Amino acid sequence: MRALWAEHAPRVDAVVRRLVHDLDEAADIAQDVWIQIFRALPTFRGDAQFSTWAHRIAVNRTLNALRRARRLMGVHEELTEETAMVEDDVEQPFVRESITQALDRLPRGARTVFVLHDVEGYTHEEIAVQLGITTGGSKSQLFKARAKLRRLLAPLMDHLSSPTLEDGYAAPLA
Amino acid sequence: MQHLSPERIASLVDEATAPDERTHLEQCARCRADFVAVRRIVAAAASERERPIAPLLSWQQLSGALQAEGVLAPARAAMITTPAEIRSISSAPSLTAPPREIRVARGWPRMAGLAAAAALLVTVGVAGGRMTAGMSLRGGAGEGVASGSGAAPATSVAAMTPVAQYRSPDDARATLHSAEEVYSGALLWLAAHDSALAPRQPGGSQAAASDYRQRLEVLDAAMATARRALYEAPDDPVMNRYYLATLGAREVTLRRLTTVLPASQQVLEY
Repeated sequence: MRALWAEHAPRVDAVVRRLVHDLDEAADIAQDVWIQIFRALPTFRGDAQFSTWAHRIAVNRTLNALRRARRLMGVHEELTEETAMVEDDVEQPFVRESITQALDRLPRGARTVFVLHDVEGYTHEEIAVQLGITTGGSKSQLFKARAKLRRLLAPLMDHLSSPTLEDGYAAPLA
Repeated sequence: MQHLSPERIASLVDEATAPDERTHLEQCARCRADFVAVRRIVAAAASERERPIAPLLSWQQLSGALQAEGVLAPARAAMITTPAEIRSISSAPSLTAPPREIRVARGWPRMAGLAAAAALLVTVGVAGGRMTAGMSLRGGAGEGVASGSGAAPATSVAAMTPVAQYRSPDDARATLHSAEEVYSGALLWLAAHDSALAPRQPGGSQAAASDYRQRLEVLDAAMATARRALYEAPDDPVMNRYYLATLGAREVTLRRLTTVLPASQQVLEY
């Protein structure tokens, strides 16, 4: 068990950490994730790689834990309301180079959708099912998250060279 | 045209632009810079997926929680740190000795399932060892697996192994736990360092891939048998450890398979 944990914890725990802002809460959830992984191990049928299977458990357990935490706190914000929140220091210079660090500045709902879509590769349809929202809501959250990250990372990004539109543009014309 | 909204610019990474939006992007340095920056952020986010982090909790913390949940049996030797400890545990005769506290009380079918699983797993271990030593699985493994004499290696291994004495069931469990850790660690080390597993000539990586696939088949059969035994005896520590060891071997083999496939191929599902 220990070898299995040592092999996969760096990536399984990374999923949890990306989704959870608070480090202590992330550690608690990671523990819950690993208990679930080992408890469910006899049911692992080898249809996918172990890492993929464990990754799914990590995402599901983390999202469940986040939902549970919100209920306990009596927070009933809609995801769109969360994203609409404005933090006091949003416009302050933000010089950290890590997206992971910038993610800590996002509201929970926007952060969750961004991580699931742009980091973990989930589709909007999958996210909608996981979070109980519409695909349109998922897209809206994603675009707001990206826009906010752009603002947060502006000092860093604007120090980079300025490529032409063609360098960075690949979206098809309508 | 007005500047594009930040959310609209953020959406253009995945969505189509209207002609007037594209014209604006070509002419407006500010919106263009925003678009390129968002695209870089998305690319950086995708690369985050494979970036590992330090585990959020230690094994001591996790094993304590696993024990509290009844998922992991209490173990005396949770930590093995020095080479001397590893050597001492590796040379302990208890690895193949039957743990005496286990009683099979529900009749022959269950016992037969456990025995068959153990025999098959030991056979797999023998086949795996041959392969690790550079021998082809095609010629050798059939002697143990396909000829129907799968129980023979298990019997002979058991016969050669002295029966160890333990002070208590916990003592035996602790030794099993330690042996499992040593076994798993050695397995991972071999996967990373054993040159005998490298592609062989002639045939190169194609032959190696074929070998790995055959080994996966054998391991899958072993896992299926172990799984059936676990349904009968879910708390049996021996079967749980055999299952885990086989699972680890399967992961290692799958990983090695991906290293010998042509660049144009990858294992999506197995």
